[in-house]
Amino acid sequence: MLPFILYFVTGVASGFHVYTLLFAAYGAPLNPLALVSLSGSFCLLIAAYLSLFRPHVAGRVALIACLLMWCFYGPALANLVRARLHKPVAISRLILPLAGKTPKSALLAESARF
Amino acid sequence: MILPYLATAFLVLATVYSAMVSFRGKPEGREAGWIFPDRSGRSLRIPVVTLTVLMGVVAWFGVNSRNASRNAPPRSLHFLIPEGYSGWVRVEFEIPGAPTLPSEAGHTVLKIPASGTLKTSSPEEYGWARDYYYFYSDAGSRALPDSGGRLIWGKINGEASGPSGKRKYEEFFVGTEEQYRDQASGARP
Repeated sequence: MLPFILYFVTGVASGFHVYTLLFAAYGAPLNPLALVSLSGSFCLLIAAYLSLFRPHVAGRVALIACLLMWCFYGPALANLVRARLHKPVAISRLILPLAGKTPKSALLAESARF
Repeated sequence: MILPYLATAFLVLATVYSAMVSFRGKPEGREAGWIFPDRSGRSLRIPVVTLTVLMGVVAWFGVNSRNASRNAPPRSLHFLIPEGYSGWVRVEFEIPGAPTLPSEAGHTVLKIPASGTLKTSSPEEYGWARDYYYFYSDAGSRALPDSGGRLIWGKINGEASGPSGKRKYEEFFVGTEEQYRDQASGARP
């Protein structure tokens, strides 16, 4: 019963998630990886059904389905992590004149560092 | 928005579990537990399959009814224009605080004030529908005359962006062809 619940819930949750992403924006182009992931969700539902009769075969089908789904979720997660951890580069920096130097030479000295 | 995290968490679990089942080999000679069960008994399979099919049917009808209500054809608009009014009529939609448009006998009624501008919090409906135009006064309302030339011109709908945000509007001109041409050559309000 455990494999059935696991495969079924995963298939429904991820399938519904990708489905909403596919049709969230009207007129937006379809992402082929999302379609691959959607087919993976469908395969996972088949695996859930198979797990009641042939658990070992269902496990292999589920593994293939999960790999299909990772085609979409993998890059999406990587982008999410990159967006969260990425520190944006400052596009401008204030350079103050140093004590004991003329403002012009200080600015030139500072700007030469970049 | 918990769904993406939930889907990812379940995907990780399903991947790990299915990999364990696949690379574990067939459980010959080993005792099947609840984590890696052997085939389910017939007494369990029948209710599980039945329940799944039922859930699928319920979900299917749920999604279909939601789409049906979302894709319902737009109702026709009944414009009530003040008797003797001539000029541009403007209806602004989705204005916060403005009254909603009333419905009568399956039609949406838009009673245009003497100023010619009606503001409503109701959204604009898109799609194919025939609109009707009436003149109203204290004596009652009458449909715009069919004969003697048309009186509705230059109907447009659009969206304008400004400091107060986006505004959806619909405009048309009420008057004779001559009046419409005269104002078109001059400045619009």
